[in-house]
Amino acid sequence: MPSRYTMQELLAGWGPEGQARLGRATVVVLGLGGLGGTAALLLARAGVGRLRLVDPDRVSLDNLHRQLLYVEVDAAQGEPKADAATQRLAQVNREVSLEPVMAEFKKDNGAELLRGADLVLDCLDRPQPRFLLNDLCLKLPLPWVHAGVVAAQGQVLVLRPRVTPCLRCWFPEPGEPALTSARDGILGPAAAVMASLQAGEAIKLLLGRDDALLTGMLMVSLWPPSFREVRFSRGGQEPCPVCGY
Amino acid sequence: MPPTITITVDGLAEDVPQGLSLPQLIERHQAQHKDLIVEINGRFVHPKTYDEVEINQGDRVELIHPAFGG
Repeated sequence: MPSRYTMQELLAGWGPEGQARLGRATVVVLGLGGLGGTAALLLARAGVGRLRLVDPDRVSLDNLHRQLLYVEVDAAQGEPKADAATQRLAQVNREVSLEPVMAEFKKDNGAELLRGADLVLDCLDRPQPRFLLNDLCLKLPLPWVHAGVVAAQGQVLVLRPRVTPCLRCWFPEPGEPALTSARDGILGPAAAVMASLQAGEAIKLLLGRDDALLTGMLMVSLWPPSFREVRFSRGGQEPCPVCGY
Repeated sequence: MPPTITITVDGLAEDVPQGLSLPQLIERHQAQHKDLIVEINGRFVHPKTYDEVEINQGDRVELIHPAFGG
């Protein structure tokens, strides 16, 4: 008799042991938009034990083209995304513990939001809190998977303190972003692709399959289509003052 | 006329003045300097080394803006 997880347990290096590892894991999903909602959906279906779902916003009609978790009634009623996501994910997999948090990820609540986590998904919608997350994850230490999307392009990056470069290694002087969704829009399939890549890296991290992780920054465009993995190099510079890499 | 070299930027051929620096190329493309991912001939260029990099004949340059939306 096949179980809910039979088809993924068949994957090499997964099996019942891997499934049990997922079941014991706590993942914090920061941001429940086009990235976070879809990534959370994939992790809930995969049987991650506990998901903390964090977003300060409410569902609106202009979310629906890319935010696959939500339906028209959520937008009509202005449901908090954390609550709507929890309701939908509970229908998908009752075995997953869901913890909705309607809050913005900030300096004064960041450590509390990450408490007890094994892994964080960065599905935030602005650069600044991503650097706060970077610094907190270095301090704890906690692995995280970054993804971002604007227009038809995005990137995914796996960050492991003391193992990989940190976000400030890649972007030493963060400034105002050249691309913004408010001006440049977001292609729905681009958000779904980035979220799927992000969830895939998260599952590999939870399974302990470090050998199969992304090693660089995966830059993806859907329009025109291209995938390229950029490998980090410090170029002879001093180690990063933030992470020491 | 100063001598020019031919390079490829984001997949498109472009003639630029010989001796052009990477920051000058970035400026020509009106790319934001701070959060850019730059690759030259398939190799990542660290942002703190931009000033040291000169563009050479035949270089394949990628100027990629990261996307920080969600």
